[in-house]
Amino acid sequence: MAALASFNDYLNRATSGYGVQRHWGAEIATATAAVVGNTLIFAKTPPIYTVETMPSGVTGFRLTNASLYNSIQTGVCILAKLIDMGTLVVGTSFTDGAAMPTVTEGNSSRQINSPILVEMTTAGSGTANITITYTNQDGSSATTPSTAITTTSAAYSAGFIPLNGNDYGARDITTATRASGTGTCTLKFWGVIPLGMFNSSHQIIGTVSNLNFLTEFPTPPLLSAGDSIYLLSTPGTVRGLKGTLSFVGEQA
Amino acid sequence: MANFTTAAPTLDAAIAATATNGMMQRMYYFRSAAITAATTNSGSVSIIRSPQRIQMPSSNGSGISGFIATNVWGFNGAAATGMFFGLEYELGSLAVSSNTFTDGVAMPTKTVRGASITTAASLVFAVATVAVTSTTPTLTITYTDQDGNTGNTASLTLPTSPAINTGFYVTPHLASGDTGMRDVTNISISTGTAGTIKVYGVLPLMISQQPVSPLATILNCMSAPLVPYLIEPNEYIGAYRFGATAAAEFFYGYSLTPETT
Repeated sequence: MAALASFNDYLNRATSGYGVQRHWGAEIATATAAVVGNTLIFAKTPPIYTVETMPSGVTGFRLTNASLYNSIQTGVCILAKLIDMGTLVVGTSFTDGAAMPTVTEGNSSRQINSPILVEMTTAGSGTANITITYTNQDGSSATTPSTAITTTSAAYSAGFIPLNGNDYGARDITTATRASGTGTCTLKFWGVIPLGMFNSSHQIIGTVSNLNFLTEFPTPPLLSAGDSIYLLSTPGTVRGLKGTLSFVGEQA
Repeated sequence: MANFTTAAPTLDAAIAATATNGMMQRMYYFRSAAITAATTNSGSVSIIRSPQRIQMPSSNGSGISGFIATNVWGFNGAAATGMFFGLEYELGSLAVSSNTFTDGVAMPTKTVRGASITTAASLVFAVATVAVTSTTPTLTITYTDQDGNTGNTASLTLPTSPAINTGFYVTPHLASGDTGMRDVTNISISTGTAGTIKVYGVLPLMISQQPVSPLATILNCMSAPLVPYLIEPNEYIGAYRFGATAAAEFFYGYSLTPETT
């Protein structure tokens, strides 16, 4: 038995030693700001959980439930696996990262695509525009429009950069550069694989949002050892976040 | 065995199909400049169509006919707006300067709950995909209605020179008694020197509301079911925001469940 096959299968695993529960907490201690001109200001947390080495007889972790407590009322939180696609020290150098992964979806193996999330990792000063050259959703090379960077945005500030023309996803980033200006800062580019969406705007502070992947998706995402999970949350105010992630093991 | 396209889908079948064949998970971010406001003669509701639209892969693996949108979410950066995305079909196109119509596709046949139906779009939009130069033109769309009657017309008086990505809600201007379009057979305009207007029919996969910003709408197959349209190879998914003219940002994502044959 390998793949999770039914609700009964889930119950069997959860009650026979194949359940895993991890608690996490994160804090955005400094107000974040727009990095690439978005009207919505995102904060990207550090990883809230990195999947550990698989126990014996387990081939992957199925995320079956996630909960979130958010210390501010307004805002949304995207629960996501992120792919480090590269780092740009603006005005100095670009260091390539990973491409978006090839996965099995619809019984077909293919490389997936993503919007490009831009995170401020080290704030700087001055004005600068950047361009990113990427492989688009169809496998063709393209370059983003020259986009202004707010070089003074606090660390963890993040936003999404417009792609070229009618492109809707990037498979890989090949290079990035400062197209104009003299400003400096350090940016990291991420690919986003969404796992779920928490909506805390409609709740009063103190309540907890839940995602039940078995009934709402309806199949839990499969995670492997080393995969890191993050939250992308709005708006740009200081906040504390905590919650729980529950998994069952995929059996060899 | 097919699941969501049958009359009696089950959760266990969906879990098994997805775990065995792999679900499709994506997030998208689109941005559009401000648009031209609609009037009571052009749909009343100001609508931005995202210029980017997603095309599904050209093929799936063995035994998979397509995907079902079982979990979708979205939000945008403006309060007092809504948005939706759905399967989008280009029904026809008009080159304004020459008043020349180019036919598109008809609305598709879909198997829903075990029955094959010829769909008719009740979400129909005339969109300036290239900025239009024209003074309060009359746009006339000749179409086949939801029952297959041909030659019906919808007329809208557009505002002067609509900006690119401006969408006009055609449905309120259908002929009396009509509720949707199966096909567009002609589009004409009374005056104009530049621009392109395309007419799109949309089968919704998600409709959201956003009284405050940001407020995501999350729809899933268990608590807020929409019609489980099969999303087939090469089909397009388009995104729209309604209720404001200011520049728009679209944030949305989905988890799609594979449908077995």
